Amino acid sequence: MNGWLTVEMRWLRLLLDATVPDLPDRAGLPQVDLTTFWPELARVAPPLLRLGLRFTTWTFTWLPLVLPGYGRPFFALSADRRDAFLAQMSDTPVFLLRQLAATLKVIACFALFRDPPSRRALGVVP
Amino acid sequence: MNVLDGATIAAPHALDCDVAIVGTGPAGAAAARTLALAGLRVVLLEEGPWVQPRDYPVDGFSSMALLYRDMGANVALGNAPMPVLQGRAVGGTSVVNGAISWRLPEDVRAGWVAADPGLEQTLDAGMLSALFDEIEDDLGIAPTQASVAGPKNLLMAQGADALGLEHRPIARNTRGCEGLGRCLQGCPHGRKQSMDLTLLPVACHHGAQILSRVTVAAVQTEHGRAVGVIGQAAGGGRVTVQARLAVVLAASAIQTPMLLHKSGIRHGPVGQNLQAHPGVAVVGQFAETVRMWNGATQGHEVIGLRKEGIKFEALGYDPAIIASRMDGMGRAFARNLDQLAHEVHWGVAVRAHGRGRVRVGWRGRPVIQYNLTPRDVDCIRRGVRVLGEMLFAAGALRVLPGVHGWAPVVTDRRVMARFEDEGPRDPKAYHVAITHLFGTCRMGSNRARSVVRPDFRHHAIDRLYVADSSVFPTNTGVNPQTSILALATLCARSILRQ
Repeated sequence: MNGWLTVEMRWLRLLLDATVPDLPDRAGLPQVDLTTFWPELARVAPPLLRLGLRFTTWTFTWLPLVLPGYGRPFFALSADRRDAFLAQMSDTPVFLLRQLAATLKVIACFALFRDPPSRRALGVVP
Repeated sequence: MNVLDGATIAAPHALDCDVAIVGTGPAGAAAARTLALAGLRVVLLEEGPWVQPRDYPVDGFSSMALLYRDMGANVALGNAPMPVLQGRAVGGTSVVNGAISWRLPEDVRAGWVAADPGLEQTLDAGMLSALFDEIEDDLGIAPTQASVAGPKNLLMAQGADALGLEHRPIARNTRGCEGLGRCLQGCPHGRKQSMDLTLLPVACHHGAQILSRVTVAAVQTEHGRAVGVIGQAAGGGRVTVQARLAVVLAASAIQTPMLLHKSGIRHGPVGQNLQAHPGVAVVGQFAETVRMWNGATQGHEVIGLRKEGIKFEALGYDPAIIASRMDGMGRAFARNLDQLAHEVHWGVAVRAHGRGRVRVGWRGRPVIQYNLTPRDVDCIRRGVRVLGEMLFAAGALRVLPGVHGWAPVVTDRRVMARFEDEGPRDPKAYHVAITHLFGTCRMGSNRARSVVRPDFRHHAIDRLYVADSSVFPTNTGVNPQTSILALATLCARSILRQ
């Protein structure tokens, strides 16, 4: 996305992939090519959403480092700990963090359901 | 249709006409048709693109990127930040709404007239009724057929019956609906009678011209009179439209007051008194396959509590939106996606007492502030409780209220029944969205308390009219498209009388 560092894009992709990961019997977001999704998102997302997404990326990448029970940045967590962290953010009493988790989930779903094979895998035709 | 794409306008482009109309949604389209049929030369300016139904994308993200303002991610700030959904295309929000059609309820009309007797002549009940007959005939408005309703709508009838609540198939502006469930992404077969397929072609047939992808920057005035508009085309050219008789603002209750502010026309409570219909959705999971993305998008409603300001509707949208409301994150969430085809979302919309305002913010973008009142939250709590009970009565195995601080999954109807008393009172606990917006340039006979006169003319600027839902004195408690069409037609007739 415009103005984002490569490392930021990598962190965001990791967060999105962890939101809808692969399952043993079904591919998740990690298998979806987002090459055309990013420029489209950058083109149409209003400033508040772009800002929110960047804030989410930084916050959720580094918050686990200081949060009890994690002690590492998000990219260094195991799959189990990533699940636990995202679930905690999704249900936290802190409204802002909850909103960030909700934003992440919406963007992950937009990306997943834009992919025809993923739609078909979940029984959505067309 | 006579549409000039602003992307092709790279050099200064000047036009003159009798009436310039900003916006091509229901208000702009209704005004344009009436004026063009009367022989006036009409030019409409639209910020969004003209998209043919066959080109509407299938998936939620792509359609929101193409047809919604700011991909539906604009947010009203206040005690519960809420997404504000608006279409942005030739045809306006009519391209992406649920096609729900309601006449202005008589109790709402009577309330407006009682509060301001100066509106009596404009809003004569008999004349409005005749106008609604014409609109319903023009747009094929009729109750949703059971043959295209699909399970999500039929289940709502079942649930409402069990609770003894008045309900009915929703009257919609469609012809030959096939129940594709894609109203909110734009009907790919053109069955929804949106403005780009109905009133705008009639207006163009009678000489109206549409400039798409042109953003109007300001209303031009001279000696206290509106004389035209200036705008910026997507191709980079500056567009100037001189209007001999009138300028009509029909850009929505957000963009119209913004345009007045940007034009330095700040008379009266412009941008204030924002009212809306906030709504939340409650999810039910059924044993059987429902596939809520199939069937008429919004085909059934429960109206038994309308007088209390609460209305229920079956919902239908792209699976991406359905999925984003599902419980969990990570692998738990991915596993929950197995339930996608078994979910039903029903919504409660509230005739809220909350108020807000719209002002111009950074880089000319709208800043929308809106606060729910404690009474509004009570209505939402009541709505969530009733929806939950209806879902159980219709056979749901589980209900997901979607309320932070309360049970994420409920399996017992008796637990759901306690929600109205025990549910959170903090507005931030709910996932609220607003779709219908009103009142930011309200009409009235008192110059200090309104922006336009009862005949839609601006109080301070001659030949300037407002035709969209920003003139509504209050919210309506029902879907406003048909009322907007009627009032915009009255606005056009007022111009013809002048």
